[in-house]
Amino acid sequence: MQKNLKIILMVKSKLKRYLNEKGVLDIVIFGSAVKGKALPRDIDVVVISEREFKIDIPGFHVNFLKPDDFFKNPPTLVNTLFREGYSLKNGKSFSEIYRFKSKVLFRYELKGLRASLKVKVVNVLRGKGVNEGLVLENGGEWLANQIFIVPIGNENLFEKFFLNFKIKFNKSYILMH
Amino acid sequence: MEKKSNKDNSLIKRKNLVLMMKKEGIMNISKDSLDLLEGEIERYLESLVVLMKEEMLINGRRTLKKEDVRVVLDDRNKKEDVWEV
Repeated sequence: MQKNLKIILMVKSKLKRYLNEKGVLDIVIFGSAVKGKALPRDIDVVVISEREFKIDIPGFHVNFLKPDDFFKNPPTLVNTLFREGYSLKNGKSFSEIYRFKSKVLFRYELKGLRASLKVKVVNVLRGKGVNEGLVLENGGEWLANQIFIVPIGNENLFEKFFLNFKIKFNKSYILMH
Repeated sequence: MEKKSNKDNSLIKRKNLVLMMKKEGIMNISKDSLDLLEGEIERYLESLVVLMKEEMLINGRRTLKKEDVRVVLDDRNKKEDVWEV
């Protein structure tokens, strides 16, 4: 999450006055801004509040959720908040409020790739010599051969890496206690 | 005036910026306007550095190459074109 700390601080400074608005329980950022995109085009936020009001900031997409939405037919947005939301009121990820850590599990296959490319990919991800490798350097952890988990804030980097080398992969979001 | 040591590595020094402006016919420049410009250039360069690092890592390298810089600059220019439309 720290990767986009600058963006989070910028968002917080712009939304600070709404955080103290009556009835606002929290404001949560989600989307590319917290998933590690270097320069997100827009900022997605959810205001958890009993009432809706107008927030007009260029480049911001503002959604509203009522506390009841978390219990009665929760919309997919609630799911998204647990997965990748960052609470501005608590200064930590939404899932961490409930003592969960949000991670992304990547599984990849090197079958069908050129031998030299396979070596390159392994060296980059696992490291070579003094280098720890991309996974450990970005707060990740190896679970098994070709399976690793990384914090949600680095999802974008690994996804782009696999797409760039045309490596078959799949990802799953996990909440760890 | 106290010299700011952290500004020493700025790509365009204030002196050169003033020179460029004077060449264009801007003879008197206030300190505030230079501060504003300097901040903007710094932010722009910072964002380029972040994007270049990302591009380098995506390509599985630890060395920034000309092609990374080109991809980032092309991408940025494309985005600016879209905004202009």
